[in-house]
Amino acid sequence: MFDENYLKKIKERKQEWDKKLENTKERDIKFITDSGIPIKNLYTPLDVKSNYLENLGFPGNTPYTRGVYPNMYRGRLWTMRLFSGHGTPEETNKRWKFLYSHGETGFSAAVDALTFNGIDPTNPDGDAEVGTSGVPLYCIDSMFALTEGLPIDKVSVALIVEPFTSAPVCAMYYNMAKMRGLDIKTLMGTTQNDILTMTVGYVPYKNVNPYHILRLACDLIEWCVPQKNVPRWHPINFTGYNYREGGIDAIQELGFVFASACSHIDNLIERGWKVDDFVNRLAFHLSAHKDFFEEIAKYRAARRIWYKLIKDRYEAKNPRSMEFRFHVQTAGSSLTAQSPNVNIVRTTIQALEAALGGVQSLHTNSYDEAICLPSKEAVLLALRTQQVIQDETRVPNTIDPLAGSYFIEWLTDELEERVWSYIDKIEKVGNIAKALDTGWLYKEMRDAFMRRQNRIEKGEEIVLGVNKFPVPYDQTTTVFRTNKEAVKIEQERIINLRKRRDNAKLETLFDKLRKVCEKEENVMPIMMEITKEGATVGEICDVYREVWGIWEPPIAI
Amino acid sequence: MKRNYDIDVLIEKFKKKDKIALARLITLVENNPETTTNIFNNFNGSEKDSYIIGITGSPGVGKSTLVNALSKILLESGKSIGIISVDPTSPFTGGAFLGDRVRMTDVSLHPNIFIRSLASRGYKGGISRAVFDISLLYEAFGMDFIIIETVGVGQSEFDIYNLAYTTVVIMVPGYGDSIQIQKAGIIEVGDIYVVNKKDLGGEDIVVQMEMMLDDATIQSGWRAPVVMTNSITGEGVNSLIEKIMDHKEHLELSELLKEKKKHRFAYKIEELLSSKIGKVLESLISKDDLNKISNSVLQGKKFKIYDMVHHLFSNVKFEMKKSD
Amino acid sequence: MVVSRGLRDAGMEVIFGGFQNVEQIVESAISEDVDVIGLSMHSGAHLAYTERVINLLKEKGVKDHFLILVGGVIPVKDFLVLKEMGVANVYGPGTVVRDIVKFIVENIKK
Ligand code: B12
Ligand SMILES: Nc1nc2c(ncn2[C@@H]2O[C@H](COP(=O)(O)OP(=O)(O)OP(=O)(O)O)[C@@H](O)[C@H]2O)c(=O)[nH]1
Ligand SMILES: [Mg+2]
Repeated sequence: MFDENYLKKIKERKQEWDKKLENTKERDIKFITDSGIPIKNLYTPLDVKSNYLENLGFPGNTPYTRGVYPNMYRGRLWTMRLFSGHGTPEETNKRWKFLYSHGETGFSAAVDALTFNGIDPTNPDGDAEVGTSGVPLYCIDSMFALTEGLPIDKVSVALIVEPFTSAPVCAMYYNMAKMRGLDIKTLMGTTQNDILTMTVGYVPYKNVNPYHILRLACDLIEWCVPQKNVPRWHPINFTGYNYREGGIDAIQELGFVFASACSHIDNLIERGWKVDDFVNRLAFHLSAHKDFFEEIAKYRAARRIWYKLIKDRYEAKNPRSMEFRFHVQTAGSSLTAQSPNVNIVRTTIQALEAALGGVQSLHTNSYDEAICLPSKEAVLLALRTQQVIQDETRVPNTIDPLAGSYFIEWLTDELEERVWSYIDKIEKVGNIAKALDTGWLYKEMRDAFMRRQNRIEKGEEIVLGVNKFPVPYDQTTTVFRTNKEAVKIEQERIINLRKRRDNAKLETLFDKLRKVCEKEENVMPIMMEITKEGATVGEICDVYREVWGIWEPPIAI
Repeated sequence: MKRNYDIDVLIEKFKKKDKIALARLITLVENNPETTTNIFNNFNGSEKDSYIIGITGSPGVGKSTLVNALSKILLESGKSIGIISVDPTSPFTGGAFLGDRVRMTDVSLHPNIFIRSLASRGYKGGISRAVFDISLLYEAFGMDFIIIETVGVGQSEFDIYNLAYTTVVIMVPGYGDSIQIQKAGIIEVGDIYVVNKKDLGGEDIVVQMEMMLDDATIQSGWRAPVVMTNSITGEGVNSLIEKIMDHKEHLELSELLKEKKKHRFAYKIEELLSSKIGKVLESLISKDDLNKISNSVLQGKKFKIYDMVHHLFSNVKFEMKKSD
Repeated sequence: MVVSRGLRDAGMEVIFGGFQNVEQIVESAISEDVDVIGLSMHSGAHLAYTERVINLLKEKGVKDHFLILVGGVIPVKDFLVLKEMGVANVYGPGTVVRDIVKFIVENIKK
């Protein structure tokens, strides 16, 4: 990026300066990034290998390092989208309205453990967890209750369900929208639909084999985008955030999402589609973790990697196919139950990383993260944190403001290189389903988790209030409790539905679903029919289980 | 905590088919081998013979999942089952992680099944010392079948063969080429071969296995069959059970079952004797004596190592007491 | 899972139950005749679940045979409630695995 002769001069001066340091002492810690990249005391033009036009370019132009839109936040600020759901759809609706009235610009549904595991509240295995960790969405009626009175034609909605239940839950949502008179061709939103979340991110309960999960994820993509049923929807969000929270580092986070994305693209190509038919709607969900600069460099590197991957490996023609769009969540695992107020500070810094990294949509955690689901006061503060950055700091005034920093550019290059070799490493094992089924990904996760936990227990990674300046658990924070009556309410909702619906008609539709599953055809068309008639998520997933069998993950300990 | 391990109380409950008593007696025989004699003396006269099936194969091939699928079918036909699942003990920390049970949740609540996980605790051959004792307890409890899942074993550890009447060896697609299979020496140990995870392929392995089994010399009159299964969906598991039953019938008709049973006990008797002799030797030959030998070996006498050990041993004398 | 691994590395035999229902947890604990039942819960349903497990153990007359530990995202306000139910100790976020090992070793032979 710089003139040869000038660089020489800098080098000479640098050597002089290095001498000056010889008699100084450094603190006795390791100067490395969170992912272990050694960091020098100073970066200068000598460290910048990137060529401006080729490697950075202009926002909205390839390789998109500086952002995917030409005007970025000068045109539209990132969407403030707080992941929320609890108790019942009605209560969650209230929470959404509360946030909307305070300036939230996107909705995101955290569903309860039964919904994402495909279990109905009438099943005694799960009844204790109805609504305790998210909103129960078991049938189409729940969707009406969830969105009642909300402008879902203008505000985008994220449904955080994974491939095991994404087809029925999305079908319920689309049917509801249609019945509310909306055209689903213009409906905006996202489904998480991430294969790795319910496998390495979480211990699933009676789900099916990853090969089927991968296919189910691709069914939704295919039906929404290339088949143009809900073409403006993001049918998948590769959720690096979730495995990052399990302990892996920034390099692995990107490695996992890109390897996973490739497996999905390959599957759709096998189905006869071209990358340009669908790839523009694939989205990502990343973490904003503790290492400030590394995270910012991560977002920039991610955009460049995705561009190259889609252009070089898949030979896409349309530049819009190569745009890396992403949602960010601040790191819940960095937050503590000890001095929860400090969490506000942590979250603010992490939110700033996302803003400086060119994020499209952001969730900020509440200070009670390590205690309970967010209380109203806590979640409002989390929203205000984003609003402070958007409205008071002037951070969004210019695009990619850290570009050109010797350090940031160097770190972006360094991360990119390391991510490419990690992608290679994963792909040597096979596609993402194979990497799961063989247990390889589980071992990577396990090792990473143990490394992080050991670092914390040894005090190498500082957690204030826990391993430095330790304090007891905070007794004063209000503990938000979910509605104990939710079980009864949801059981009743389903019982009423079962009385009301045409059960004979459903029998034949279930037979049809069974056949579709056996033949491994796209499940979406039948899902639209069957959920409209009142089939529940649990009943539908039971058909999956019956036809494909239950899969137990090869968990590594 | 109040823990109750009163043997008499437990035996009384055990005889009434109380699973809690069975569980605690297993703990006793596993942790305090000296209680075994006392416990077993209560079962003299019990005639029940269980049929013992061994399930072995490399780590992760689906042994536990298959045990789950097998048990489901056996339970449906009214049989009772005792399962012993062995997982490895870490040689470094002595700890173990017993993960087989997670795969058996389909059947674990059935009244006619009992599942026990064991850590190998340094015992070799893919099983643990207590496996034999627990199998006797299961017999006394009246189980129709005993299924033993070994540690995910590597190449040559197939001690299960000495305990089980039918040994099922599991392989999966991607296990390796035929040379690998031969090296593993498994051609001699399996009574039935299973190629699991058939959803991932495996036809090639079946072909190779069939060829090798055709070439192998058969002494017992039983040509081991190869079965393909998907232990998640249960595909092929019925036919595996058929083969197990065929093998059982073959053993019964050819009187080989008697041989197998004899072998099972002979194996344990040998092991008990050598452990007893080991203890006797320990008491006769002091650590000092052994130290002396190792010290002199280091001082230029390494070629006398055999000599010295023979000499030491020649001072030991065993004598058999005349019994009346 | 960190906890399982930590305890194993401390020389214990850990039986991993995965995601089990209450009957299965109790049945496993009885059949395996374990010393400690450890429940890890992050779903906010810790009070309901623990109560069910303990009630079933009592029903089978084996509650006092086991040392019961609970961990996960548990608000400190619930620690006492859980202990009153009969849980020996509760571990929240930020727990050092060494402390769990120490507690088990000290309490198991009682
Ligand atoms: C990491 C994390 C995740 C990761 C998990 C990744 C992984 N592979 O592990 C991801 C992102 C996948 C995740 C997902 C969800 N999460 Co989460 N998650 C967390 C988080 C941030 C940290 C948990 C953690 O792993 N900590 C590190 C470990 C080492 O600590 P620990 O689990 O607390 O364990 C320690 C002690 O508790 C104790 N311990 C734990 N278990 C046991 C057991 C025994 C026997 C003993 C003795 C001790 C013990 O020892 C451990 C060592 O220190 C917490 C919030 C927080 N900061 O605690 C939320 C949290 C647990 N998650 C929560 C929720 C709601 C979810 C979701 C259900 C949201 C949703 N509706 O979709 C989803 C799960 C569904 C899905 N679709 O995946 C809620 C639970 C709410 C509640 N309790 O009321 C929390 C509390 C956040 C919040 N406030 O909303 N999550
Ligand atoms: N695709 C597929 N996966 C299977 C099949 N059978 C088992 N698995 C999976 O393989 C993994 C290992 O299964 P286990 O039953 O634990 O294997 P194991 O041989 O008992 O393993 P160890 O006891 O650890 O040696 C699990 O994720 C199972 O779900 C099958 O037929 N097809
Ligand atoms: Mg196993």
